Formats: sequence, structure tokens, C-alpha cells
Amino acid sequence: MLITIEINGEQRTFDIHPGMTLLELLRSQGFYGVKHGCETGECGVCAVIMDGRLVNTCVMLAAQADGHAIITIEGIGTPDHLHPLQQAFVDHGAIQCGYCTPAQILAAKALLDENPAPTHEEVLDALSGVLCRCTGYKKPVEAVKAVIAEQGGGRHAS
Amino acid sequence: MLSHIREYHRPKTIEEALALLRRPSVPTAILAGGTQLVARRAPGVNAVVDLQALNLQGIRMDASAVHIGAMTPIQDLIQSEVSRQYASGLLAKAARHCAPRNIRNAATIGGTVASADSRDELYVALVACGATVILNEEEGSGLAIEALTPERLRYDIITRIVVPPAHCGVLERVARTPSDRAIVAVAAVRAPYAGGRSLCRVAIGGISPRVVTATTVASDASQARSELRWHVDTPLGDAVASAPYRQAVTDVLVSRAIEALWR
Repeated sequence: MLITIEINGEQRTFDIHPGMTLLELLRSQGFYGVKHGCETGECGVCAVIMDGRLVNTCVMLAAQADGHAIITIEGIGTPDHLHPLQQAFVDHGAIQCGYCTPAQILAAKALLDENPAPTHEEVLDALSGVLCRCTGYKKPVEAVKAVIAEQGGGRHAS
Repeated sequence: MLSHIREYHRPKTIEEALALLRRPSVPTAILAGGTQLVARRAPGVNAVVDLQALNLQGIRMDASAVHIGAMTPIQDLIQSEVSRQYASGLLAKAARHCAPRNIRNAATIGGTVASADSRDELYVALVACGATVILNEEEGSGLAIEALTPERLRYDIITRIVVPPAHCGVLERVARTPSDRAIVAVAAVRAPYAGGRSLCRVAIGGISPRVVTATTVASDASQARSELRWHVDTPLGDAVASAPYRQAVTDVLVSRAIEALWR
């Protein structure tokens, strides 16, 4: 079956098997920042932003995304011009193995796009769906809060 | 790859969805958010009917009840002003505990009701509120959510959840950590009744495979506490907590909940 998804601002059409998950589709198209973790929706490393909200791609059929807009980590920042959240994660030592990092950054981006001045609890809640075995979450949270402070709690550049 | 799923449908009307669901020759399942069906690998399913085009999202309040579209994401219950105001924000509080943010963004309230998981605090809260479901958008089809059976859901579609009025609500819980799933959760609601009294309805999750309920009419917390009775057919015990622990904790949580309802 044919589906059309906007991925990182570009309309893409795919011929897929109905039982293909969105995770499988994205990775088959080279979006390797979308990580393969648990396949049960528990760990969150496969998360992308769909229509402004963070969702786990391993528990979503690709066909469900037909007609929707997705942002992956490849769609924000570049190696030469990091997104403020990516830069903050680097600056604050919030990356160890790096496996959960794309999803954590997307979680933070989804939060700040919706609410530029979240509370501490709202930051924790936004990141709650991405498990990290390395950092203990302290530095990723610090990195996100640094971006919030830097941007004065106001509207930040996407 | 769920290779056994050979058909994906996204109907635009409920009639179309029902026709697909009721085909005798093709094992077909409802696809709401997908967080349960796809996570469980959709066993025995050859076709899915995605409800996202049926316009079943939204939360509204009228004079008689709060109406929640079955395809409303759980996260919307937390962000909606209507649900934050209803019964002291009981549904919003319970929704926050039922899953992490990623799942709440995709999982739907219809899926929560269909799964009837006694450990799901949102489900427990809906039972306490006396919520009913509308099937296939047929007015008059209202059914208590506890009365839903897998057989009924095989051929019908939950389209709306209707929550009757309440003065206030409370959620008491015990868990290993504040953000963990509850070991035992008690949701309680105080609703209008005649003669200056209140209807007190309690739902207990985590002590039995099915949610345990208890209802009484009382003038105050003391009377409610003394008259409320509940029965557990099949006590639940597992590696997380034993059945005697869950029973003991339940008594404390119910007592706290009732006290809070009249505070």
C-alpha cells in the first residue's frame, strides 16, 4: 500500500507492507537516529515528533503516519550548526553512550515547542518516556533547563 | 514486521468501520493509538481498522456530563481545562500516572477502557466516576465501562466515554516510586444525591484482576467509612507485592480517600 508522510519537511511516498512499523520504515529509509530498542513501547529510544508530539515508532504502524508530519533527529541541526538543545547536551556532558540522546533531544524539543517556559516537573515529565541507563538523567535535565534559561523562557528558534 | 497484518483500513464513517470489523472471514481488530495492539504484535489479527479519520477526538462538558471522544489521546486529559476541573482533576491526575509521555501522546482513552486493566489508574478513576461508554455513536447504547466484555468489543466500536457529574474526586496510591505504576490505587468520587447526602463511589485497582468497587450514600466521611463494603473474589499477589500487603494497604488508602472527599 502507498502512504505519504512529511519527514523533516519533505513529502515522501512509500510502498509498504501493512504490517510494517513506523520504526522499520524510518530506519529502512536511512533515518538511523531513530533507534531500535525494545519493540514494546517501554524504552522510548525510537521516538520521533509526529504533529508536534513525541511518539514511539515501534508501537505504531507506518500506515498510521500516512498524511502526518514527522521530525527525526536528522531534521534538527547539522554537524556544523547544532540545534541549541544538541549543543547544550554536548556542553553539559549529557551524552554517554548516546543511544537515547536523539529521543531525549526530540522530547525536549517537543516540550519547548509547545511550552517555552516549562516547570521542572514538566521537563521531567517530557523526558519520562525515554529511558537512559548511563546518565542518571541529571545532566540531560540540566541541559534542557539551560536552554530554557538561555532563551529566557520565551519563544525559541526551531 | 507484523507480516500477519495483510490489510490496513482507515474508514471515514462508523458504518464503514463496522462493516470491516464484522466480516466473518477476516480476523480484524480496531487500531486506536496502537500502543497496545502493536506492542503485543497483534496476535491472530489479519486486518486492522484505524479509527483516526472518524472524528472521535475531543473533550466537552454539557449540563449532564463530560463527554470524551474515544480517540482522544490520554495526554489531552491532562491538558484539557474541562478534565482538570472535573471532580477535582481526578481524571487528569490519574492520566498522568498511567503511562510515560510518549505513550500518553498516542494511547487513547477508548483503548484504556477496552483494555480494562485493573492496574491502569485512569481506568480505575473512570470506574469510580461511574463512566459509561457509547458504542457506535448510538445514543441509548450507554453501558457501564466495567460491563464491557471482549465479545462485545469484537463487533462494536467504543466511540465516546460519558462521565456523570461529581462534586469532587481523589486518587490515593502506593507505588515503588512516585512515577512507577501503582501497586494499589484507590479512586473515589463524591457525587450529588438527595436529602443533603452524597453518593460515595470507590474503585480499587491492583488488588484483583478486575477493578473492585464499593458504593454508599452518606452524610459525612465517618458514615461513609463505616458503611462502605467491598469484596475481593481473587486476591492479586505477585513479585511486586503480596496479596496480604495489597489488602492491608487498600484499607489505608480507602480511609484516606474518603477523608479527603469530605475535607
